[in-house]
Amino acid sequence: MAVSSQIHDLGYRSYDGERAGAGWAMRSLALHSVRRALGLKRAARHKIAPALAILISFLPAIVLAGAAAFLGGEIIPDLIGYGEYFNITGFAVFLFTASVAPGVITTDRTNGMLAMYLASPLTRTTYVIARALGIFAVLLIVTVGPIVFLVLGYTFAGAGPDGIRGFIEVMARAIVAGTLAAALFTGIGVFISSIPRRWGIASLAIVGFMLISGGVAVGLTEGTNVSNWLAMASPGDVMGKASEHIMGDVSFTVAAFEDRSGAVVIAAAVGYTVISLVAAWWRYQHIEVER
Amino acid sequence: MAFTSAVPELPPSPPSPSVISATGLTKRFGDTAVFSNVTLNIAPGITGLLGSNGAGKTTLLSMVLGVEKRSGGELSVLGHDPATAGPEVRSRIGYSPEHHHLPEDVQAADLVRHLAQLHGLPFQASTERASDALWLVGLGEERFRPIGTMSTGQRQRVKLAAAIAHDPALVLLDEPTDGLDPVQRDAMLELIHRIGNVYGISIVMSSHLLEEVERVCDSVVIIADGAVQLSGNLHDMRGARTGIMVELDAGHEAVAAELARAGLVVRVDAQRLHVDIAGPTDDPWFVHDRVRDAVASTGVGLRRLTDQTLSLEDVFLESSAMPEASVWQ
Repeated sequence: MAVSSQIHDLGYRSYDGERAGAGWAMRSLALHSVRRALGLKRAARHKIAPALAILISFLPAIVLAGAAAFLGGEIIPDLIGYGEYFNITGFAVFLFTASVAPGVITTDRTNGMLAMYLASPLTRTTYVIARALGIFAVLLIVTVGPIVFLVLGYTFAGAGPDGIRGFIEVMARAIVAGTLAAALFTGIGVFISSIPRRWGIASLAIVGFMLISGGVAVGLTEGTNVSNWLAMASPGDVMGKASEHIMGDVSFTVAAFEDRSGAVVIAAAVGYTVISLVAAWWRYQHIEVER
Repeated sequence: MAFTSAVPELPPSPPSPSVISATGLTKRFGDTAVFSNVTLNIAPGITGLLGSNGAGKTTLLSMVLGVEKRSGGELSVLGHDPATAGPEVRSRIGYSPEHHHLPEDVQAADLVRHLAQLHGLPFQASTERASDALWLVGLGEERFRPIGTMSTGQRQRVKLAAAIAHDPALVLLDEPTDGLDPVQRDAMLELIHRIGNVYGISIVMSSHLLEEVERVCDSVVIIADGAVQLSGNLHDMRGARTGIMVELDAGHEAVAAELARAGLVVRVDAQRLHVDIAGPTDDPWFVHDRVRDAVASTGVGLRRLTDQTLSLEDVFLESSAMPEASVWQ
């Protein structure tokens, strides 16, 4: 009887299959950023920070939706509206940005991967775009996710927007506000992470920048004669107020913002996003790569 | 920007016998010129890029990759200008940097697969080829180990596997034996020789050691003082000056005189005679026959008779007229 056999493991050989281009390389790097930021395929300790940040950002939404379901009526949405949600979870978003962006950006320079990436079809520009897209996608989890969850929660509890039209409008506003917040914090996170070589310093710098800019802006404008335009120097507060305007649910938070129209505040948030992303791009055009 | 999976096509290029060619290549950092008007051609095969530390080897490799802009001149890699077709050219190049820093907590297989994907391979193919490449470099059993637990020698192999996993047309290895002990160095050189000769991948390997380039390379480019001091095929360079070494018991002067009378150039060095192969005839055995005759006629004892080739160091010292102490060892 003839014995038929087949060798499946041919070992290293030439490759004649499909080869994709720079777009595929960007997609691969963006997905790699998401996996790295969330600690996927890494030791358990790398999963703790993202899990905590996601939990903290969703917790108020879970509690509020649950309370609305049990208490019913309009009591809870009246107490805490959609527009205020970002101000409640903003600090968790700062912390998540401070964990994610340096973990993805700064480490590429210290572990030698930047040289490897720039020896691939990626360029300095496409590298920054791919990394920023990955961070942006992860930040969407904590900026869009909770507010969308809250809208759905209130709706299922019978305390949501009026009618389908109202639901779609609120949902669209929530997605726009969350997307702008994710883009703003991506820009700030990527830019600050591109400056120091150490992960910890970049992380502290992001938290420090957000807290100090907020403290200085509010401290200098509250009850003083300093122009309240200075409140715009705090990207975190600007984003919080922009989120309220986008949601159409403005409440009194920082007095200095009361004189600013929604368009100005939203434009400032967009401006911070664009400036920080351009600054990150510029930084990477000049960054020294260890080879 | 759309994430397309379209196959990147390099624009048609005229057939070129060189994988890398440069004409008048100049690179300056501020007022400091790293290269001035360099012209070179690197043919398919294994080429050693030799130079002392700081000679500009890494800068040249960076320009080949299209990640360092040139200040002047022309550069063609795989038939295309890396300054204008960088991503396309880099998709067919494998690169192993000089540094040993790699992500500590990443498994070797994951790193190699990730880099193969970035070079355009689909997920399945990159996974399979990462495994194949790691087996080829001798890390098959170790492929799921975190890189942070690996030795310098193993990291060099991981970098080599990452450079070849996507089946590049050209591999650039920057100091691939740096940090290796003699045994690891031999193994790495053997691996490079195998990849170049068995799999037909052109390799440019930078080094500051003449001896290791001499062992594995087909060609050499020696750069120093911002210029190419010497380049070409190693066999041709050394073959042009081959000779015969004759070791005798005694009677060196008599045998030398006999050979001189036959029109040969002879140098006497203690117990040895060095006879130049460039004799008065094209007969490849002419010199051997004259040596045989001279030794027989003088009746002295012949201890040893071997073909003698010049070392790369001899060629280099002769061509550059540099003092021996300045040869990189």
